[in-house]
Amino acid sequence: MTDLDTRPDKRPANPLAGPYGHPFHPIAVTIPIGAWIASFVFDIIGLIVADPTPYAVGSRVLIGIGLVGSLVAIVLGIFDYLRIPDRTRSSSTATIHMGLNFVVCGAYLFQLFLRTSTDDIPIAGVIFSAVSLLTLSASGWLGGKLAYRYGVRVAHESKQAEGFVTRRSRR
Amino acid sequence: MVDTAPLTRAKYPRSLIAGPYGHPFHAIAIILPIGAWVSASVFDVIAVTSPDAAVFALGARILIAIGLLGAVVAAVLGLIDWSSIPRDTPARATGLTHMILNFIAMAVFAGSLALRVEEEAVPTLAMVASFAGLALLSVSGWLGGKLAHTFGVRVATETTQAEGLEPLP
Repeated sequence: MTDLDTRPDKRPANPLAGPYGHPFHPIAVTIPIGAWIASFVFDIIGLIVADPTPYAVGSRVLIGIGLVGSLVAIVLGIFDYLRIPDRTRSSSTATIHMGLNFVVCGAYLFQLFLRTSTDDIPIAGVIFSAVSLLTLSASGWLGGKLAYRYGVRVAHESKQAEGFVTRRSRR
Repeated sequence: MVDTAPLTRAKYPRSLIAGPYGHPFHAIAIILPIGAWVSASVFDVIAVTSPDAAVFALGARILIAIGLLGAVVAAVLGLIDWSSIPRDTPARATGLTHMILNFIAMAVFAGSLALRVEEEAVPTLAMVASFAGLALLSVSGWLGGKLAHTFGVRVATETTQAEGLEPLP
């Protein structure tokens, strides 16, 4: 197959990475990002309300859910990374994307140790979360660039065309 | 001869609100509702298995509400991208099914929230409703992934994509 040579990054490394045209990495990232944003919302609510306990507990559990989800996302991301040709803009973008994400995961793991009390929201934790979310925005932007601009794990246009066959041309 | 014009049209944003070319904002916006609703169901399961039910019942209610707010933003952005897919195409039909399933899922989560009148525990029906919402979301999300990653909606053209494979200096 000729296009396997020119665009290996469009095809999955293995079945775990999701079928051609259906990468699993973009699905997996919704859990850590969504849970960590929600954790920050819980922090803000906890800082405002009279009884922060349920929000302190909830925020910590959300950080934990995010960490578990990020492990899955990391493995799936590495599979897709392996298919990108070396020494290209795409591969350097992916390397930065991965490096930033490792830093964010490390910061959230560290935060679990900051958040041992269930009675209040530690300010240091809130600051860590804010900085982590900003970093995640940057790495997420690069992840979006890999998929939507560089077309990593997006089907070839010859395949995409199946979605745009008009009734007129089908006749 | 293959007409590539309809395919190309779906690759460009209809409005800058939908994000620049090669950077659709809908794909970002869907992250919060999905992550918040999955987390809400995790909280439900913890609530029914732990002695601290009230804490997690409250958390689940907040998470469903966060998801609903996020879903409204995602729906607006999704509608903009859908409107640039040419009519009478499989991609347009896939987008319509994706949208209808998501509207049903939003209604199901709103219903799940409305059922949670009890402060101290998670009503079984509400928990089941959330699971049903997640099942709908899996199907609609699969169709959304198909639109982006198989049909290439809002994905840059292969000519633009070639930038990514330029060797580094």
